[in-house]
Amino acid sequence: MSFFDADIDAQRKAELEAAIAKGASERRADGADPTSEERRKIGDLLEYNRREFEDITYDLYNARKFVRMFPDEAEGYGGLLGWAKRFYRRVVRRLLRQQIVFNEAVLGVLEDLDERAKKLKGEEGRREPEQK
Amino acid sequence: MMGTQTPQIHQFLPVLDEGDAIGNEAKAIQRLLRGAGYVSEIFAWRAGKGQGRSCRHYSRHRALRAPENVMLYHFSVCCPITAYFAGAPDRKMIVYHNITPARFFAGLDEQVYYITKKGRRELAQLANVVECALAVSDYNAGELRDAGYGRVETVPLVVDYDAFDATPDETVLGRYDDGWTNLLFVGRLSPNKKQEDLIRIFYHYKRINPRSRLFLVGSARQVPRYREVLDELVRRLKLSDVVITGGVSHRALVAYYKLASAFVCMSEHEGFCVPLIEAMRFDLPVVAYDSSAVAETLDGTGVLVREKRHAEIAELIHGIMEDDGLRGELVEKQRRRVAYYGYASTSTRFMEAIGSFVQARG
Repeated sequence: MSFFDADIDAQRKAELEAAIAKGASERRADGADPTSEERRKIGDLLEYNRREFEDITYDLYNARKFVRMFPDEAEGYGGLLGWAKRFYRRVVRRLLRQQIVFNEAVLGVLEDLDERAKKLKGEEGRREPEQK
Repeated sequence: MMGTQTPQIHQFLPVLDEGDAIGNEAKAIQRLLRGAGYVSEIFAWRAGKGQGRSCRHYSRHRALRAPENVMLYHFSVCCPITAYFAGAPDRKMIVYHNITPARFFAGLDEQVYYITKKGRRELAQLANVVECALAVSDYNAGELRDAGYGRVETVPLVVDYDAFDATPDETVLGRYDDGWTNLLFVGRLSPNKKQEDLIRIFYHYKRINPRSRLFLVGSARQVPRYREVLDELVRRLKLSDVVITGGVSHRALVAYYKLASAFVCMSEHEGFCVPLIEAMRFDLPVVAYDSSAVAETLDGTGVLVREKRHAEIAELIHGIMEDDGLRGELVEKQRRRVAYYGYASTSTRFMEAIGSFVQARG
């Protein structure tokens, strides 16, 4: 069975399939097998979706550190000129908004982990009697 | 022109951006509605660069709220508009553009992971709030029914593809118009769109045809880490001539379509995939992976790949490039699909859906 579908003349499709098979095998026989070479080079780079959110705390730490660069209280702006006050306040507002989105994201992930843990517990609970 | 009892029909969307399929549709719909005599504005949570005059912040809709008016919400991601929409007294309708499943973003972007997950929850919450839901494909319609929506209609995206008659960007043309074979994909850099597979296919294709290039056109803003993965992949494969453009202007986009020799899509999740139709409009042979709504959008045209065998797909593209007769046969059939999604046909279907919705209450 062909790995592709195309609404084209059957004869033409058969010729195309034959050319694909011939081309791919010739290139593999040409010394290096491109597939194994490719695999060696890209290693685990594309396994990104197997990563869990292990670096959340690091990101959160960074976000907080960034927000703390600016004073929290109004008095913190005491010695600043008017334009600088407005600028800092604008930056702080923006950072806080980002922090809120980020916090929500973290809570969402924690909820998911909770759900997953509950599901796993349930599965284990169901499995146990069978094992006995 | 309609009488004074004509309801106002206002549209809502998270972000109005240039070159974005949803934003383009909202503008096209606004023109249609105004042309039919409805008062119609676009309200957004955020306006993209240069779009401030085309929309208003959604909080400014409050003064226009009325039970006889209609709110049309383009739903694609979780957004503060959802709560406002749900609480308004107006009649409600959504256009569902699909939400990328969160699993694609695991390990790459926690925020997008959460936002997409929350988006699915919001979609389910709106099921009992809206009177009617429009889906831009049958695939999306299926998801709406699964989420508990009762009245669902499939109405293709209203897009004016004639906008692609614009003059192409001269700088882009000048840089790459050299007779090389250019493979193209258009879409934001996102793990569901699997640009990584395109790079792997191009790795093989480059060996077949060294005078070739890969254009990946689309913004990398949403998931910057994925862009890093792609850059690293290109480095490790020691590939030259992979052009990752980032977001481009409309005229530059037209130039990339004009420069392209074939359109290749390995995306694993699309609610419709407008670039497939755009590519067909430029008479580019399309090779696409069979996932989500892709087969429905192509409807038997182009070449649909069922397995991601990169080396073989590269040979397949080479076969199409080398055979004028085959390319002509593919392109000829694709033209019929472009006609099906033409502005005249989709706008009529959309206005029929709106008309029956407005009259439904009598």
